[in-house]
Amino acid sequence: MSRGMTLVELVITIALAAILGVPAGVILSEHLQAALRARDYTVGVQLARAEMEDIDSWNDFFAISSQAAAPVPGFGAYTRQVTVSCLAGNCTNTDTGNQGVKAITVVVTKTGSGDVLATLVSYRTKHVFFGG
Amino acid sequence: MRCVNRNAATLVELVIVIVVSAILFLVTPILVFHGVKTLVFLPKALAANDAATEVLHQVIEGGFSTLTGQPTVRGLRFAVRRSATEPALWLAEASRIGFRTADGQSILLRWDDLVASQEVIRRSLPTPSCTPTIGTEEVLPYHAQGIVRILPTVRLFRYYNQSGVEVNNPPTCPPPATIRRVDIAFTAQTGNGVFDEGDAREDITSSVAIRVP
Repeated sequence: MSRGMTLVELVITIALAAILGVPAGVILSEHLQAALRARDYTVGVQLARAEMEDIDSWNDFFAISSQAAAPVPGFGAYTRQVTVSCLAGNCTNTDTGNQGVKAITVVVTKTGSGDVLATLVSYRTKHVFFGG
Repeated sequence: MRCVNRNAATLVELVIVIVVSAILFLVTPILVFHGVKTLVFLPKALAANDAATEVLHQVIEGGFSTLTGQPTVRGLRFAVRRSATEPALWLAEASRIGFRTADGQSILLRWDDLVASQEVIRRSLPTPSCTPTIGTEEVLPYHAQGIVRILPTVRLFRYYNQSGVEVNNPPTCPPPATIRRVDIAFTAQTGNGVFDEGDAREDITSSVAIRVP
């Protein structure tokens, strides 16, 4: 009586192991990518907020201007861009009678792939008096 | 008479077995090792991410507190000058910051590295002073102590004026009233933060404007 496995049985066993192993590997890979994406989104949002808070701390309305996309210092894996546009009124006239509103958009992307991680929008006004 | 051994393998079968075995022996250990390392790394990566997010949220926005009599404690976003003699910030150092809020809280946040490999940020409510007497403290976040280490990126807190120029370095007490923004930068990591050792690491930074210094 032969107690060993035939070649056919061995090949079938290997094939079944591969069929079971591939989905497990895919699940593991997706889980890892999800964890890394979570980190990217977390850091991206904080980098965007850091820039927005920086701009918010300035007292000079006219100094707020667009910044070209560039890697964030110390966080080269992330690229940050600031876009400033005059939303209403006159944003360049320094006379107190001239009102103006600037829209500030901060976008953080993954360097290389360009995937958008965070987009923040805020507004700054000059000579605008709110309320009655 | 011709003898036939029906229990032996043919040369072709032997070669096929050798080839298949070689492929398995070469590929399987690498996959298994990588898989095990990933399985060990993943929960630590999530823990580091959670701790980093929670620390920043508590420092900047504030939140629920375990301090006696204080169900919530506000964050740096609510730092405000209460009077001419009570500025928003009463302490501004690289690893400690003390601030006042409009609802009467005086909060101290400090980095504590007293216990090796268990570096954390602690929060308390002492009386404002250049040398505050620290009473009861809570860890931020409480669930990560001993698991995730909070390590400053050179300096945990940096201070900037309204022109974006760094000030108060070296620190003075009381801190200058020109501070308009506080940067927070740290690394949240498990163990040594090396992936090959199955540890996770996350560098993170954020800022908060001090609107009424």
